[in-house]
Amino acid sequence: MLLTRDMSPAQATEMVQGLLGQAEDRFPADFDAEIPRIRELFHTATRNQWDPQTDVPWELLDTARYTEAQLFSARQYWSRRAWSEYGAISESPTLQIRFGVERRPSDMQLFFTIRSQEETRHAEVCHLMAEKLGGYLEKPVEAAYQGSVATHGVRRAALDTAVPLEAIIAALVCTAEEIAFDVFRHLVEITTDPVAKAICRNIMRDEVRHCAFGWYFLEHEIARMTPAQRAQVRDAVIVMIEKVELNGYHSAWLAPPSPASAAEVEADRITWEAGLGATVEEAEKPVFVDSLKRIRARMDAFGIELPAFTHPKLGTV
Amino acid sequence: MAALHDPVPILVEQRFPLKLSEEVPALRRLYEESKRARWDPRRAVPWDRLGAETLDPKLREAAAACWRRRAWLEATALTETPAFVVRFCMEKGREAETRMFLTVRNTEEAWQVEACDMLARALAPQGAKPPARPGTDAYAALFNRGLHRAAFDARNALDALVAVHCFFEDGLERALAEAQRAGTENLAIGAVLDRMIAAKTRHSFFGQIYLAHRAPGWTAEDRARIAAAIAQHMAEVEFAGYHMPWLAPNAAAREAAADALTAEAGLGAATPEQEAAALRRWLHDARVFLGTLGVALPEFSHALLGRG
Repeated sequence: MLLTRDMSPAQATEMVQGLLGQAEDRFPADFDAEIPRIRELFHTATRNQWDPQTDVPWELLDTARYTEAQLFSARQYWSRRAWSEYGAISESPTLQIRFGVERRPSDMQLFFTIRSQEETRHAEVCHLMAEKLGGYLEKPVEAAYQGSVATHGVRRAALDTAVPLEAIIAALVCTAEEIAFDVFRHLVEITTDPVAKAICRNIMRDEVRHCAFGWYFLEHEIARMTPAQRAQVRDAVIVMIEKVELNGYHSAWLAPPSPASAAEVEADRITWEAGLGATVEEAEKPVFVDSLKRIRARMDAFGIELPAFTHPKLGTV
Repeated sequence: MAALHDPVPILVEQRFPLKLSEEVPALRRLYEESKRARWDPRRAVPWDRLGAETLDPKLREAAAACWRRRAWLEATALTETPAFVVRFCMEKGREAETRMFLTVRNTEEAWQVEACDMLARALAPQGAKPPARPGTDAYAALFNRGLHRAAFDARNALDALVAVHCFFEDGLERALAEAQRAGTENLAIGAVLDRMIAAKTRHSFFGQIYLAHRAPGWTAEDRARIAAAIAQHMAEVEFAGYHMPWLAPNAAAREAAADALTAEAGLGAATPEQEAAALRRWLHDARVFLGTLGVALPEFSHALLGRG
């Protein structure tokens, strides 16, 4: 069965013109390195692979040190991390297809293969951590929280050729992944459990390359972009910040107030107090604000001016 | 770019509950094995033993063309495999191991693209570049079949797609690579082929494990659909010379000639006779395996191969 009966008709299928309607023409195909820095990222990633099964000191995880409440909260936290990483497996490979159909530099496709594998590693290691803490959770404890972690909309955008690729990369990579990288760097600094810390460090090392990919690509493209295209990039970044990040996609405390998000925030606080990997509003807020400021400065260098962002928890940034 | 195809109906993902725990142990083991088998084309191959500088320029030109075509073959996976990953995510109830394994498979395909392309460049005569496109539009069309679109299209049964592209085609590629390896003494080329054979063995094993896992739930229509999909692939793709250019003496004459010279020199190709034997062996193995799942492959016929 391709379709399931519990899906609504509107949910079950969507008619996609866009990318899937385009003719494929792979040639000429010479695999020259058109963006050498991205090709080098592919080579660096090839050399720096790690395995969640063997490259994390699992033997140092001592669950007896933690209370039941701490372990349950940490299970929630690491399960949510796994869902978040999984989004990149489920959605971002569509971008790789788009690179091919649009005949973008082959460096991009090559790098993205390894990027997707790294996202799989991240989901795997977060899942493993949740399992070792007592059990991975297959969905949010509060169903209402699903909306904040279900999707960042990249698959739909990647299939829609009306959305420029540059805008998607700017939003997904230069914005969302840049924020994610800063959070992981922050987590490496504040997490005390040796296993949780090692996981955060391993993921952070991959995220450095993921972010670099986005900026290298934008630098390569920016000179030939029209003012209208730059405006689309700007809009995409604004939407990613306002509708996704400030909605709590990465940080539960930014989600709209509700019993569901409050429960996630509380779980994060208990996990953070245990040193098992999460962070809390007061610790993460300056990190998040710095991320936004840096993204704004880098976009500004491209002639893309971002507005001030307002959130009840952050004020105006 | 104008839209050339009808709208494609695709599934809409229902992400939660999101299962990540082991569901198919044999696939999980294969995933773990694949992670451990990582390699770096720039370091794992003794490039200094290629010896291209000692070869006749005409031979170098042919071998470069042969290996550039291999790079094109591998590069089709750079859009096909991510489409499979997404399709496995969108289709409700599919097992976590499938997408995990496929992301590793795609990295291996990228390494194979790079290794084949490095060989093509190193073998090309000094100052020359390997070809950037096939010799005819008809042959080029075989590389532009839009497999990503087929993978997304909800009307196409996923198990049939797996049977064609993750079992049958990968198994054939493994059989052909083994034939190409048999006549290769060059250390650099042999090292590349060894890695490719190992990867393709895992890739086709993935298809085999998955089909065996799914088969108990198939209906007679599912089985017929799988047999028909493989038969269509044989007729429209393999017999059109996609992997074996000598099967298409008109459309792929340039490629067939390059392969013949490369095979004769032991630089990583096989003769038509050797490839025909590999194809027959693989058809036999595939037919036996699919038969155990209740899928009956038809008899195939080609003017240059006869019936079998």
